[in-house]
Amino acid sequence: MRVLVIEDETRLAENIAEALRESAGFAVDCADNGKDGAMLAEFQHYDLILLDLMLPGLDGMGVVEYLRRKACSTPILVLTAVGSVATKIELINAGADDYLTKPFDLGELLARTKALIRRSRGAPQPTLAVHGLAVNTIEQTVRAGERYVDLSPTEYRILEYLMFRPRVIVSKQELLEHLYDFTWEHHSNVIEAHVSNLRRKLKEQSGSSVVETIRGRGYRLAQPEPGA
Amino acid sequence: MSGATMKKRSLTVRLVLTVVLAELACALVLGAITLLHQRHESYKAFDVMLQGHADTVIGALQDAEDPGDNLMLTPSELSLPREDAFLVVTPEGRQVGARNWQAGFPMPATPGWSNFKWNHHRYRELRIDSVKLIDAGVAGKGGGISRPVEVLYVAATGHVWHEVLEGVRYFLLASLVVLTLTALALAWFVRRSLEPLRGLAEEASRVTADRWEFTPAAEVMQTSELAPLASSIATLLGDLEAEFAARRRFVSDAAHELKTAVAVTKSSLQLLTLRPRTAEELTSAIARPLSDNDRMEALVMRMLTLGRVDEQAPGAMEVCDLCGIAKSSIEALLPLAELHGVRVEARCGGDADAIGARVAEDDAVILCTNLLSNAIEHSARDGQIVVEAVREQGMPVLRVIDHGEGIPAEALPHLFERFYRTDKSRSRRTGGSGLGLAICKGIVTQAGGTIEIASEAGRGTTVTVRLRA
Repeated sequence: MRVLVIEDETRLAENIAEALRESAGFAVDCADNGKDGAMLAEFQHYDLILLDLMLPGLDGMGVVEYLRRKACSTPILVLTAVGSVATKIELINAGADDYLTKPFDLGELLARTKALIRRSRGAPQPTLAVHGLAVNTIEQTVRAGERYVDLSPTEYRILEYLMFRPRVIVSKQELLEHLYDFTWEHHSNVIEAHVSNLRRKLKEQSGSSVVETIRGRGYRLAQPEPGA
Repeated sequence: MSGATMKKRSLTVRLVLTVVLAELACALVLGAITLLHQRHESYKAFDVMLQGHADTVIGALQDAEDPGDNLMLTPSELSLPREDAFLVVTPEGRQVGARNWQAGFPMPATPGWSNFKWNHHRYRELRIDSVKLIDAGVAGKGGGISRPVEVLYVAATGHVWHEVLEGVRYFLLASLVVLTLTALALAWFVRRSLEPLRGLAEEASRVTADRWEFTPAAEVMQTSELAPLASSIATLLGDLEAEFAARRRFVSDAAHELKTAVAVTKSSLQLLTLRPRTAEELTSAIARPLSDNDRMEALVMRMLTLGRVDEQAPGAMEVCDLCGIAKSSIEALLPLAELHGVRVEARCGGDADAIGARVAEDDAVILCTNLLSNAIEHSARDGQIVVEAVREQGMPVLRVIDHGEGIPAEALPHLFERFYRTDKSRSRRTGGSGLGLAICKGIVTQAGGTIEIASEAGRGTTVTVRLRA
């Protein structure tokens, strides 16, 4: 998952980014003003935007309105020190999805972030099941029956992303975009290596091929056999 | 409400009461004068009448037949008021004629007027000494006998008093009617005249901390006594509203800044708890929340400084040397200047003379370091800054001149506003609180001076502070 943090208080942005990377395994980009943030959000595919309300240049409300006008459907979680109900209503009516008042709890921020992403993917439950595998998005673990499947963080993130997009062919480019932020160099063969490792580990545990490769197009979560 | 405990006085009642009382006093004085005058006139008329009646008696005496020496008057033949009494006697005491004469009536020793009281009634008496000519013969020839007589005439004065009192009563009654009418008319008129005042009070009572609108009615502004009051209330309310709004904005801005600062510190601390960490990791990681805390502390200190500068009553201030302060500020900020690769130079006017300025020394240091650190932060590497302390037209002037990026023209009017930042993200990164210039303005205003900023984008900024000597 890839998250954009638009926050002018750089120290806070750093802390949020670190928390999202460390404990949720997300890729995180930061923007320190509304204009840059809106541009990034418009041209990159983010899974969530964390947005400060009081920003230099274009403010948070302006960013929300701009993105929704541009038909950007990425969930937006607004962070602000202004706690008035009127502001909250105005923001949510403008198209924001959730709201957190500063100073907030990092744990709460992480939980809301994950919930918003799950819901935007149409999977409100925190545990996803497919091919006899149980993927817990909170603990970030994968189980086959009683046994845990030992995946690297990147392998887990690839699996999680594919599970959030069942039946859809996900290109290498899309995976790159959603799993890595701008601090990484993009190499599609990195993805290939991780996917082949993931496929091998899952096959060892579940006995079936969970991740399909569609030549020239990308990857897809294998359709469960009827009756399975 | 204070109205419940304090007795209210109505302006209308007081005005009407004052006028009515004055009128009443006038009426009473006029009544008294009328009474005295009426009495005087009545008595004069009474006396004339009495004299006339007495003369009638004397006339009758002359005409009376006098067989022998026996002078006799027949009272019934005289046309005199029935109640009056008279007595005619000879000096020897022989009664010549009388009517209604009572034994208790006094007999004055000398001719003239006198008053007496008899049987609870007041009387006035006239004694006339006259001569009765007997057998006068042909007029002008002389001869005949003359006999002296004393005529005493008495009339009750009761009805005179009655007439006087009647007149005065009529006067008083008329006065009372006029008084009542004027009081009513006055009350109505005063109420009407005070209508604009009531309107003004009503309008003023509608003002609250949330509704500052104050528009007195046209009739208030057309009343010469009320117009100055109404316009001064309007001015006062305008100032208050602006001040109130500024305070409110300050509080909300301060809350925002503090919440953000707390959010940073909190997130830095929570970051440490997200996963188990080794002791070494913790030790090095703790530096982050500590530095966040330092920033928050600096913010709070600045807010307190601003509060202090704002609240201090301008009083007598010591005279301190601007040149010395400029030099010590430069020294204090040398590390910052070196970090930014900026050279700072002090330039003192006069021959090493102290530039005396009337400002609290601590405040002057804050002022100078604030201005200088702004200049350093907005200067390019290898830039140069001049801090100038000079005397111009006898007044001390402090100038901080940089050749940095300058300030956009649209930002100039807002520079002294609290929490205003020309470039928010940049200032945040450099640790600016947005309070520095507001504090400077507060200090300079306190010291009775002025501060102005001239800037040209790309060419630099000059801040000029003029203080009192």
